[in-house]
Amino acid sequence: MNHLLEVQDLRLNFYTYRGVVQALEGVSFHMAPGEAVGLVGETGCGKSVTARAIMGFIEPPGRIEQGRILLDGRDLLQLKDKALRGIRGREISFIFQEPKKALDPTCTVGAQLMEAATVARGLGKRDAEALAMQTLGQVGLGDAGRVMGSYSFELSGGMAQRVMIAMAVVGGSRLMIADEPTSALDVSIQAQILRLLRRIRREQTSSLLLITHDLGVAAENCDRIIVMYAGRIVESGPVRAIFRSPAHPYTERLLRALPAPGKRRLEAIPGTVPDLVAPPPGCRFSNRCDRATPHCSRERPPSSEIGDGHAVACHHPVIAPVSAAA
Amino acid sequence: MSAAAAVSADDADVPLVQIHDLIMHFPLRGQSLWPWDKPPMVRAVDGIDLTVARNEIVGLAGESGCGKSTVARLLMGLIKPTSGRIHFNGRPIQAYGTHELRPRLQMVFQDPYTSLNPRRPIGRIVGDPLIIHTKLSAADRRDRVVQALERVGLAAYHYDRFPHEFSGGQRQRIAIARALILDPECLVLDEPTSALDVSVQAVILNMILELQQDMQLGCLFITHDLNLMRFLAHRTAVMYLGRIVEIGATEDLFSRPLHPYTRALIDATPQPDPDRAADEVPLEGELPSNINPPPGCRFASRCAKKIDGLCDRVPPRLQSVQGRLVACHLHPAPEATP
Amino acid sequence: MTGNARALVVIAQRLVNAVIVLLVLSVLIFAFMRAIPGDPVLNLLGEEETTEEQYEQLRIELGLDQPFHVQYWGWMSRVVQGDFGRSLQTNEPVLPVIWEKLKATIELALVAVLFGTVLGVSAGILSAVRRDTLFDSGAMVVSLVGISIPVFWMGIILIIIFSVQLDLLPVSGMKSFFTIITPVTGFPLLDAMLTGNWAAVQDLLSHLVLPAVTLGLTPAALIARTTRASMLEVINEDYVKAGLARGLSFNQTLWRHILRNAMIPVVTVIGLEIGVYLGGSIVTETVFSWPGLGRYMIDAIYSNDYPVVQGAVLVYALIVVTVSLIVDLTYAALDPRVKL
Repeated sequence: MNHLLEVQDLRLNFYTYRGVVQALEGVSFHMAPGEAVGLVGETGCGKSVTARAIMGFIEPPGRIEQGRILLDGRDLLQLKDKALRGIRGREISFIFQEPKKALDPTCTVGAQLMEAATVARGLGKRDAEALAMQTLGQVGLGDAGRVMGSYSFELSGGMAQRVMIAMAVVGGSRLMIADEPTSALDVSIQAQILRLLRRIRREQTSSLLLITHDLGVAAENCDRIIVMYAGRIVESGPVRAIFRSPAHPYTERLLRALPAPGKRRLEAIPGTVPDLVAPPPGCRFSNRCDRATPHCSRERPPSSEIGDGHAVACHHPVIAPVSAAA
Repeated sequence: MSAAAAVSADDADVPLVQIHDLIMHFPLRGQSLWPWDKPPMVRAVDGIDLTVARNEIVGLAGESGCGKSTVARLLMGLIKPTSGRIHFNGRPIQAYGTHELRPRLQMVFQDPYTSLNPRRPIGRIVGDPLIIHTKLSAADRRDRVVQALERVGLAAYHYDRFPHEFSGGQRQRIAIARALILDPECLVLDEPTSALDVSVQAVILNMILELQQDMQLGCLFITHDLNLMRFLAHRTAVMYLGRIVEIGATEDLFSRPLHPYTRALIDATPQPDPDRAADEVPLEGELPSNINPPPGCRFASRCAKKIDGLCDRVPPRLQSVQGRLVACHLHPAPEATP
Repeated sequence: MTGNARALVVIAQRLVNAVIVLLVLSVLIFAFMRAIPGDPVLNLLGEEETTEEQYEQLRIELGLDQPFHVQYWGWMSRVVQGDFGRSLQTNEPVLPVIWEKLKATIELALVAVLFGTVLGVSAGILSAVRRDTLFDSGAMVVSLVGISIPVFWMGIILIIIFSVQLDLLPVSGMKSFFTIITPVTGFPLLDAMLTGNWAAVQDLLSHLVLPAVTLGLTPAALIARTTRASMLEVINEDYVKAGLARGLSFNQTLWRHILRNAMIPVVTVIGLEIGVYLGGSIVTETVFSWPGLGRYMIDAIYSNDYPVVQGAVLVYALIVVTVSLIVDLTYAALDPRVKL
């Protein structure tokens, strides 16, 4: 199978005064060209760190201990700074959670867009400006001339996120990594931005790695879902398989905890996430899992395929499919 | 109604909270050049009517800038309205002394990380209202605090711990324990779970629902998340740009929204359902400024069902349509017949 | 109103404020001078035998017999016409002398500001970029020491080390006795350069080094710490990451996005430091016998020379007010969020 991005056995630690935080352990997944993959999980599960590791944004006290991040077969972790710069913006672009903070407050939108065009595409000033203007139109910012000359504080959150998407388009990247791109926006603007992302993905035939805590956003926008818990991938699979027949007890419990039409009581997950300074040697969900046996806390469950592209890392996976309306 | 809620007969007829034609305009400082210039006014709340009955959760939904949090602050008496009336148990809130109102009307804030003083132990944080509003002895206060902590799923041994030792969900429990320790009649919940993860949110929501039923609380629940609203609220009010556009019984309102904005908000809320068609974008454009709001219907600039000539005019105030209160030209009140 | 017209109105408002500040200050200094012990008439009469009549006559001549408000009104109404009066001691007109002395002070202060800012900003930037290296810790320890040392003590220590022990630089004064400078503008160093008198330039510079370092070191230390903190904050901002994410190198983001944002709080600190520079210049001029306005004013205070002190204080205040206006304008130029 032809992979655009392949992350293999990624392990990442943070060296803090409390001890070594094992933030990612054995994270492996892949993305096909044109695919939209949702990386979901709760606070601290490692989804955002994974995205930043792909961009090469890991700084002390964080350190990548092992693993490979392959883009078209090239290991990004082995690349020199200069080669990595050739990939950032040109092949991978990044969309931030708070778009207004991702734009330099002292620099016009136009200058930053043109920067992307000159650096990633090697365009001259005039061509860069034309491309920037055209792209702003493409992301739905009609009055491109005015937007070019404005500063981030003069834009609404939705407009700023459109600018960030334009930045990704200007660079011409084939992989967009979006870290909670709509969490800071209102629902009506969120819907507009998500639609724009879908359209841009079609037009550019690019892939999207969507990091989100919102299972609804993931369900409506992704082809495949990867569920993370406490630094590990617990389940991955086609979006329907994950939402219709979750196999990992965590995924299943998470879906049951969501407020949804018709529910009169929510099923909370008892307990808390283990401390990643000293996580249990076995399954990291075992202390909260009602299916767990003593074996679970001792031995790490391997990831095993249970269906077409559907894999789960659990000793006692949920077999019976559940319907979403339950 | 339980014996604990000993309300006199005439009290029982009066809604717990009654808001009438409430207006809050904030001056936007630092914009004008001369000290005698009139600053532009932000019309945060622009004439709303709302009631909360005993033992009822009323939800106030809307996007940021619609004025829902301002309503909460006005109800709490934290800010004074520009005009309008807020009655609590039939009396205007200005007529209450602070010591009279506070024990009966409490609030839980959005961010449990900033709403608890980091330098004070939990027992003190929860017990402070008792010092201010009761004459209980220290030992009695401690008993009451421990009871309150246990009621929200914490334990006596948490009494001397500090907020930083607790997770976000536990902190929100502490905030709820503090709000409930004086047995209030009314609780304002301003986005109480928006800082929390899904699995923790579920615990808090269940707890709020249980406590509300046990204590027969009247609640004003404010959120931007319609899924939470549908789960928790008995009645839902939807706000847009300082005005309430629709109020109705929650299930009825969600299954058959009348106002186009209500419908759009419901459609825009993502659901954990991969088969939901997502390519329709229910709401185009952005929220207009609340300094110079559109003159007619405030939603007209974004409304897909807008009728030119009609919607440029100010819509009627909330009026009863099909068992619902709606402020929309498209849903006129049926001709006045008995 | 257009942006430019608005800016002009704001600047005009600031100028009106400045005038009010100067007026209040002039009343204060006028009153303080008369409140401190000492009698200028007695100072003038000196050791000679004098009679009561001679004393009274001189007092009337100087106008010191009149009530406070009359004296103040008379002085102020002349000041607004550009007449700062005459020195009680030397009978010279005050303003031309202040202007001459000010030139020496300005040369010292400008070099010190330049030294302090360049040293502080570059040390701060390097510390931030090489965070947690030996350079960083070293620079921060030195800057802490720099903040803690009083100016006069630093001056004396520098004199002991570089002039007395190492004999590298002159002890005090602005120039050697035999150095003669042809006046052009009145600014000695500038004049020496303009006339191509390179020997004099060298002489002036060697005299300038120690006082300028003394004066600039404390602000440099504070500026370095502010710059470092501000840089570290900006480096962690998302827009810097966004710069890297569109393919810029770290150095490109440094020049295009980090520095400008990091400099915004630094400009504020530099503006606040202007008061420190001026206060420091008075002490420095005294320690190094620098023939500037500060020393002139100190001498005048000792001899109760009212018009000189009043004039000097007003000039100092005018400088502070002007510089802070310039700082605010710079601030608005750096940060588009700040609207004038």
